[in-house]
Amino acid sequence: MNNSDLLTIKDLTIDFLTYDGTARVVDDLSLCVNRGEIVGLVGESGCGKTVTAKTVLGILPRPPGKIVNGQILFKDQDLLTLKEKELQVIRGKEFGFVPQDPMTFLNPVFTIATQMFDTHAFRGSLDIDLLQYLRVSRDKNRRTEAMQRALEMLQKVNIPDPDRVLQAYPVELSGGMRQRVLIAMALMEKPSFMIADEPATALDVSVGEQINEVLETRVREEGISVLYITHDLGVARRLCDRIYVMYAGDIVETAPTRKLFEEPKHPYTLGLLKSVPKIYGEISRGIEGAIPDYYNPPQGCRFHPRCPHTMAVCKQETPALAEIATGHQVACYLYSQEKRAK
Amino acid sequence: MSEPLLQVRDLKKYFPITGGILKRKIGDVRAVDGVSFDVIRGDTLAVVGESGSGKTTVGKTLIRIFKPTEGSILFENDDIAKLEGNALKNYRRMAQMVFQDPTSSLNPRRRILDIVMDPVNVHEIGSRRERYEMVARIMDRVELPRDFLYRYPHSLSGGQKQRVGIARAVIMNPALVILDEPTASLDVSVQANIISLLKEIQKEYGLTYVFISHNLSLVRNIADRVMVMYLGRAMEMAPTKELFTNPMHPYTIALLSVIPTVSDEEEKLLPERIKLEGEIPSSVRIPKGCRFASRCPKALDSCSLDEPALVDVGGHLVRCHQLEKNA
Repeated sequence: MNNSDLLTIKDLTIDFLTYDGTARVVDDLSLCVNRGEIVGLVGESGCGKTVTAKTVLGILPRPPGKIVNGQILFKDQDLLTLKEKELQVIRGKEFGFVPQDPMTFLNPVFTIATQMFDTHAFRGSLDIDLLQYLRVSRDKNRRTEAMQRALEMLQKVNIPDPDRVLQAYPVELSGGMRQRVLIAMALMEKPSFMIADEPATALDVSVGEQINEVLETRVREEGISVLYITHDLGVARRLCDRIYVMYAGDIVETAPTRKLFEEPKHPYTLGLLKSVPKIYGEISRGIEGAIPDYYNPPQGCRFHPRCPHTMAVCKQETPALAEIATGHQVACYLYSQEKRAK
Repeated sequence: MSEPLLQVRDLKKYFPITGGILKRKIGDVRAVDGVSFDVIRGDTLAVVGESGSGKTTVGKTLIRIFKPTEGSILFENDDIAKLEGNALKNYRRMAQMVFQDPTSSLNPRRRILDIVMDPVNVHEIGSRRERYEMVARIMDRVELPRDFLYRYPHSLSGGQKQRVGIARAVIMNPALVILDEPTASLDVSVQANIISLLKEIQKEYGLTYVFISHNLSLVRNIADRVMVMYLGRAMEMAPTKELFTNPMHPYTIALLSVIPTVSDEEEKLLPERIKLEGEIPSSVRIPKGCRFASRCPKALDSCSLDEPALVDVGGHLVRCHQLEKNA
């Protein structure tokens, strides 16, 4: 723990209580995001990336979700112990969020101008009643001020013709444009931390590339820390400073980006990297098997049923993350005998 | 081995837009606007492009889910574009499709057995016993346990569902299989499984694939030839290796340059990064002249005057004014 930490997740464990039983979807997960850093959280669908993000934002539906253990420290304050109202203030003022699917995150019945105005005027404020809303939204000075800010933000995310976009309804905009609007909205109140949940996945490669570039320029310029969630290793390699690889609810490997791609260690990371089709025409057979059943996860290392190097100890006890080089941590018995404390 | 299985000539598919109280036709979505290509027997032809480029429409027209507006599709001396009734039914025995989203392309209320057996039932092949055996054999081939036959799609994972989709397409032993982004909704590790399965099946059954995708690194691994589409037209066509080592059309170059890579050696093989401005225009109002001119980094004023033709430039077919001179 040092002063540069902005967000630290410690030993986070989340259960989902359902009629079929209890599913442990996040299992003793720890990660940290330093100031001004873009950190990648990479994993396949169902590994718990989005649940983690939602928990940080405090929007995990509970029930069925239940936080069993852990801390989420943001500027040394544990978000999990805060009351909903206190959290709302922090969320409004400090957090930005760019969702995966730009189609469903804008309200279809309001113009972009209205939605951006609301964001600007009411971020971090609590319980606004209709009268208050009308008073604020009729206030001409505030309105012009907000619209100026909105225009400026839209320009910053390279939207051509921002005046037109401001007056448009979401349906009139393409996916790429909507995603830009969402980025503009997320950045409008100068957050210090942002979660981007696969912002480019729903878009074409060329458009997704534009989006990632805009996002990167903006956050680097304004020194915002980002937790960038993705399943695409190539995208993570391009954008992130550090990467966490997640499998079945826990981090299996973390390293600075260059290191991770040059010397991947964990068998899962290796398998993933091999599965990515290569431009020189090579593709492996992928990783056999499927992500485990969360109701009844395998004992020991959760990856052992799919791992080509399984040993006896892997089936017994869960390996813990151990540092094998500066900043490079792996949870695997091939590299360290460290076991997770009970 | 260069005998064409399909010869597509000047294929067009327009969807009418209607408006007003009389629902009169007020325009057309020109999804596919004149493409010509051959599909070689036993080969894989990849069709790539951004969404809205018309690649899926090409696929659906090839198996006559859509009836082409104009143009011809020659298959064993028959013009598929004009087939009706029984002749069309017979053609569909030979041409099958694997769809993009395995969840929405399998009926949730039917068992896997019924889904996979459907084509055999429709075409009334063999006895009930023989049909079951065909299903069992194909299930073994796509590496799904036989007890899955009595399950419903919801209890299968994405990769397993896509295997069912493949089984359903291949059970008739067709000549042609259209693969419409078969792995787009799957994870990379599963995608690699499915791709190697598709390659094996192609060899064993002697299938011809049309592989529709926007993932170029995947295309590099499975296709023999590639057609790059933009706004309903082919912009470049070349053998895969040739296209990746020596791309010519600015659109192809731009697409290649933004492929996310996972190693330095890969990155070196890509052209220098070109950022494409803006997005693909609407296929209702197709720009005059070269369709790509509005986004092309190399566009000259003269590019928007008239549309370039698809010409042969050293083994590539390319549609670009600035390369025409070298032809």
